[in-house]
Amino acid sequence: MLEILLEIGIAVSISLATLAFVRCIVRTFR
Amino acid sequence: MATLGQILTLISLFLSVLVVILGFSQKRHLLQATVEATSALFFIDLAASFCLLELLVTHDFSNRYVASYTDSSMPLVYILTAFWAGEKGALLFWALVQAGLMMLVALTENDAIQKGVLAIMGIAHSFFAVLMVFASNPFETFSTSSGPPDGNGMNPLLQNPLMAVHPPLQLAGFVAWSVPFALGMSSLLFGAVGVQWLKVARKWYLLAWALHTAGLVVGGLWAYVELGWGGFWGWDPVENGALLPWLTGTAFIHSAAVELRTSRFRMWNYILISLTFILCIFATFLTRSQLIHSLHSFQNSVLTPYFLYYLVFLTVGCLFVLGTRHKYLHGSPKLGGVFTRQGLILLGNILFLLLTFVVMWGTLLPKFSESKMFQDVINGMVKIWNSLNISFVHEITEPLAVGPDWFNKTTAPIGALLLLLSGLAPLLPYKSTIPKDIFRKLAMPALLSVLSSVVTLALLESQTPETKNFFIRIRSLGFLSGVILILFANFSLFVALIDFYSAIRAKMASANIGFLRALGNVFSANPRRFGGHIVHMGVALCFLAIAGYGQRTEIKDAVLKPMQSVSIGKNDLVFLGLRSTYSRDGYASLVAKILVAPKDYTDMTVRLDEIPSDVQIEPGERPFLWLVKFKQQEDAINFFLKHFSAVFLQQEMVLAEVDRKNLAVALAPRSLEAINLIPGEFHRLADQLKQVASILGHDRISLEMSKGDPLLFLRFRDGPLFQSFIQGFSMKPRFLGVSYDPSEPFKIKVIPEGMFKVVEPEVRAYPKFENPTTEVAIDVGIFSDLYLAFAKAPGSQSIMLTVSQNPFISLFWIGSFVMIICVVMLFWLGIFSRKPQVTAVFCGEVVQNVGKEGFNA
Amino acid sequence: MKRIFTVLIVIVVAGVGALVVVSSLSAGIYQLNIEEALRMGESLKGKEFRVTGTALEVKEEKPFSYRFKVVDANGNYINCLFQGALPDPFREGREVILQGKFGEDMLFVVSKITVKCPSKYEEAGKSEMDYQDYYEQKYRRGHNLEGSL
Repeated sequence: MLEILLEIGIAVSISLATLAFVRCIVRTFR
Repeated sequence: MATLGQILTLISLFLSVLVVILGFSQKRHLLQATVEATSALFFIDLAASFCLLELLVTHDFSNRYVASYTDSSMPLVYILTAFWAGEKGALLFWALVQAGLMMLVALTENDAIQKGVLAIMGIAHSFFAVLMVFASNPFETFSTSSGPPDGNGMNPLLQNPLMAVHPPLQLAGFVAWSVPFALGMSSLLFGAVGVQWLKVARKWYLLAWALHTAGLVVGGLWAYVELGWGGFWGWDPVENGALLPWLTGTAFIHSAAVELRTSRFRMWNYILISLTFILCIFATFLTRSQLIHSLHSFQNSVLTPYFLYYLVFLTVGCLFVLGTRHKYLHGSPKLGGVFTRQGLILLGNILFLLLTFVVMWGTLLPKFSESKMFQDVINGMVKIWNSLNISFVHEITEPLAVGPDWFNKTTAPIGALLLLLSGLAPLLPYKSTIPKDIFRKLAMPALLSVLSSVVTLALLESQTPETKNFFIRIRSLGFLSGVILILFANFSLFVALIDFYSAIRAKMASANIGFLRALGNVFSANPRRFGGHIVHMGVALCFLAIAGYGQRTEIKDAVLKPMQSVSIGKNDLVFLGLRSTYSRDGYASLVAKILVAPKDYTDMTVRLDEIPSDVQIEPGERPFLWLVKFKQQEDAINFFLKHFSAVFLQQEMVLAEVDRKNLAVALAPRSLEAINLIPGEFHRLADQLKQVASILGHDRISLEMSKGDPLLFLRFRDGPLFQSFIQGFSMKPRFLGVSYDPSEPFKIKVIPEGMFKVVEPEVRAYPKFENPTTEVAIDVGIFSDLYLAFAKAPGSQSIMLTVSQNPFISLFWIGSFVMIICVVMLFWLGIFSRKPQVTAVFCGEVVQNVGKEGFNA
Repeated sequence: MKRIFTVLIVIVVAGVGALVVVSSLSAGIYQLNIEEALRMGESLKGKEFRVTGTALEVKEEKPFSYRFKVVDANGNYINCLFQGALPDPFREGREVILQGKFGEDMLFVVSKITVKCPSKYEEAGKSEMDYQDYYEQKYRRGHNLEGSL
């Protein structure tokens, strides 16, 4: 149970990080 | 999963460098990009943390870190806290908290971002990312095998709720100081001087202080409760390391309050916050390296060179920034007089720095004195000192270390002075002239504190009765320092209470409201002033505890046989015997039962069933000891044997076999696990029976040990004796102790149940750890704690008892709690209030927003 | 006026600093290794100092009274006497830091023992790099390791 939650957490965090990174790139080169 | 973790740490490093590069720019779009990069950084660190947690939770022993600190039988909560228990995990935890704070700052402090604050915090994050990627990676796996089948497990000393909570609090405190540091440095770098950075920084340095203090206090509480030497601060190098930034940080908070109010002490504040931040890194370095031999000996760390370079970089960097921006540091108003609020706080700054020097000197002396150059320098000064004929000091030829006594003696007077200042300073205004009514303002608290100190001393006396009177004892330095601390602490307490009292009374009268509402009103109208009062009251309580602790009574080496007693303070402590058990949590423990009997106990009513009607029972020479008198010796013997079985034997042994025809029994230990884990335990049980056999006579009882199994065979010569023995095993024990002295054959000494408290210190044996651990027993009282630990001599029934009566010690925990909660509340108010806006230097324009100011007195 | 105050403060602080340093020298406890302690011998009599070494030949004379030798890598040793409860981690062969004084006949009367707590790897005499082997031995995977990693 905890395992699954942690894995979801990993997936969500990486997604949010990717999103933020993309926005960062966008802003840098605007 | 491990590979993912490694990739994530690499990305984390990349992102933190990105934050640094982008964050120092002045262009708006790049600064917005910095905020995004900070978010990304935080989420990557979060993902990496989840990875590590997953490896821990799934018991993936192919990972070195998981194998080092956990095993499959540990409770889940400690598996989770293993995240920060070791070096590698602590690095990741540090990075996570740093990134989290960066995100919090990005969300709440819009203007700060423009001044490179995120970039500076990014440098701090990068350091830990570098350590993780290049030196000490939490996701490292065993290179040539798939890892051991089970892990090492965690030292049982660390499997304790306090030890689970101490590292994250302490580390978070260290990390949190990076926020005011970054704000300060950036204000210098970008020329936005003035008090604005302090106004923004205030909530952050309060947060940092609260976390840092909580870390120190929880560490001290753990030491008190777990380590068994009776104190909560041992002046260990690792403890001292964490104390150093706390000292400079506390000085900074007070000094910043002056700058916020009067714009003075600008240079002091920049220096103090830089020093605090650098000392946080230094503290981590001291903990992780083998620089000083310490009880907290971690393995030889590869991190040392990294830390050294980073410390040099930070120090040089700060000096450079301060040096090139020095013109901003001038222009503060003059001091305006020593006997003013700011004058006393300046004195406080000096005292705090002095304390920092003392602690640092004592901690690093063993390392410094190894170097010949250092010895030469010191010896040169020693020659000069000796020629002055003040006292004679030997020159150093070998490395030297100082112990806790030296630290206590040198820090006490400085601490006492600071305590006094905490009472005096609130009475003085910021103006340069001493107010005319100062003596009137001093009179009330001074008077009340003298009265209160008398009460305090009386309470102290009641806990540790002494035969010498006050005026003789005051000549001893130890007692004198205690009295002074008590006096100053009470003074500080009353200054705060009186201010509260007059404000509340005025509010109640003017607004016609009740006490509680007035209290709330008064506090929220002026949270800084009254919050400060509450914190100082907490400090005063802590000092009262320190004074009380200094007057404790200790007995370090009382060797006791069962039924023997030792007296301490107003109590007699009776050793009732040992008992071995096995706990479901996977350890065996040897428990020493100690009865705590007040010496002046007068209620002599005791209900005793089980006494035959033709037998007398009467009080013995102590309140806990009663005598049962018999007319016939045989009756006495049977009574003794029956109750001895019930009280002592039955708890640890069972009747494996009863042979009524031959009057023989076979006894087996109740807990085989306990026998296996505790060395010499079976022999101790056998020994108890041997003693009984020798008291009653070997012709009446004979004892044999089995060759293979842990069994003991007893054979009785006569029936009644056999019956008494068996009866004892099937009845509930009626006494706590029973003893028989063949030289007084008609009397049995008993200790009745239910009259007094029994305290049970233990020694625990864990299957995976070779060292047994001492479990202290603390009888917490309102006015003092009774603190007990014991050691057993192998092969005998005796124990060596260490006991300490610690007056007022609970005040330390209460006072600390008050301090921390109050500051947390102030931080909370700071985050959510509409605080004054910052003057921002932005793209060369000065943009000024002034919001509503909640102001102080 | 301010100048006088500043000078005064500096002098007082320097004075206090000097006192601190001097007191540390007087109260300081020498940190010696066994060779140095033996060499300094008589001159150490009555002075508290610390030695580090390995505890060997531990004998319990009577409950809570122990005699043992503290030994260094070159075989130099000092005879020690300790009365009291040994700290939990104390064992024959463990590295210890002993604090005490020389008494009669160069017998080191120990007042305080600190045991260097080894980690599990160090107990087996291995460094971090070797603990894979340690585990292999300990758990004894009996299968053929040839070709496997």
